[in-house]
Amino acid sequence: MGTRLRGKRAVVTGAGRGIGRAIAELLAIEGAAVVVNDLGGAVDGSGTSGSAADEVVTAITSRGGTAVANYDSVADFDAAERIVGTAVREFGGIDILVNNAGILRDRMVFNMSEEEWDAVVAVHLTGTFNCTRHAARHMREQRFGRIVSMSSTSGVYGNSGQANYGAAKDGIAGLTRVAARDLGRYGITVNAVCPGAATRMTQTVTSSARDARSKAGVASAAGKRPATLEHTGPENVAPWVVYLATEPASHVNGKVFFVMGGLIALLTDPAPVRTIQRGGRWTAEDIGLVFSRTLGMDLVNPAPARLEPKSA
Amino acid sequence: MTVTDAYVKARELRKQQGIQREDRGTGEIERLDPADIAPMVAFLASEQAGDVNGQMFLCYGNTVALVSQPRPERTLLKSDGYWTLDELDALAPGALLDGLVNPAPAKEA
Repeated sequence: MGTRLRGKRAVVTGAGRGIGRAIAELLAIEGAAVVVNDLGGAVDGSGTSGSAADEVVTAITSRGGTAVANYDSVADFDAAERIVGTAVREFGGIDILVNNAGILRDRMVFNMSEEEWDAVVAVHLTGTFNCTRHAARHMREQRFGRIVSMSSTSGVYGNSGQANYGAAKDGIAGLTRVAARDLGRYGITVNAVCPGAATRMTQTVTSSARDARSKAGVASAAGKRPATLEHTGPENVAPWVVYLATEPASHVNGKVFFVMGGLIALLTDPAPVRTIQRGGRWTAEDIGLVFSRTLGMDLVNPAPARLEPKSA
Repeated sequence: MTVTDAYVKARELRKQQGIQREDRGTGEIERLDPADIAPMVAFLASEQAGDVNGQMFLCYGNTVALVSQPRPERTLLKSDGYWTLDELDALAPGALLDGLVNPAPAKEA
């Protein structure tokens, strides 16, 4: 057992399986008391069962660690308060929050239902806000906190077929940068990790997003990734997430990292790369005159038109 | 509430909380006119922008900028398995985290 997080109190959402489970187990190995949150639903968010969270708690406690289960949904503001409240009630507070819970409902944007959009945004983005907000109350009071949220390159690199997921995950990156600036002065850091891992959730990507893409004849931006993913167990992400909660990372705030297998990368923030400026307001015509040799230089359409326009 | 009002309110909120915002060089919001945005939107809707797809632009004042997507800036690579915390303790501060600046450092109590 390590001692890096001895005496710390942690909450990991969606910790019943996959990446969340590996994070909860490593936090416990390093000495943290862990709330293992998982409502035990299917990958698409349907159904509930306590068994996934219970199993992880048993695994942690049987090795001498400290853990309790919680089965609430991060998507509900009051339920999220109960998740954080479990750490406060059982362990006396919360020092570390890992926002990991997530579901998938892949569909091309023109076929996506309102319900598919809402469900995915509710769990990922709203769920991350809900838990962050409730945890921040306690962390601000005690002038210490570590928040790590799972983002994704799905939005960054544009995984076709994942409008809901990509938007929610890019939203988490934005939430991370803002919350870092709201909370940093209280001794709280907020960072995000884009994980690459073969889990129950990415198995459905093979079947649903890839199906959706191939039906629509759209190439995957991440087409080369799955081969690598097969050699990437969910436990590959945990060391970096846990490291961000330890002392040597205490100055790291508002950053987004990518982790896959043995690769850990610090990602740049979005920033202006080419700029056009002039003395007065632009017109659309004047932008058109300079665009291709300024802002538009080397721009590549990621999905160029292939079908003839339909005649009206 | 106008957009300008909203920005002014956000600035007051930060002031109340004692939060300093990094200077992004966009200048004072009061000098920025909502009408500055329309020309770029109109350009993107035009025939000529038919192959501009999936990009993000920043518009303010008399400036239009193409915004980069996040990309790896520094990397740490282990070719034979996953990292351990001992290894990260040894390597991450130098390879990944050196010189990173906390945008809102903790205030002494």
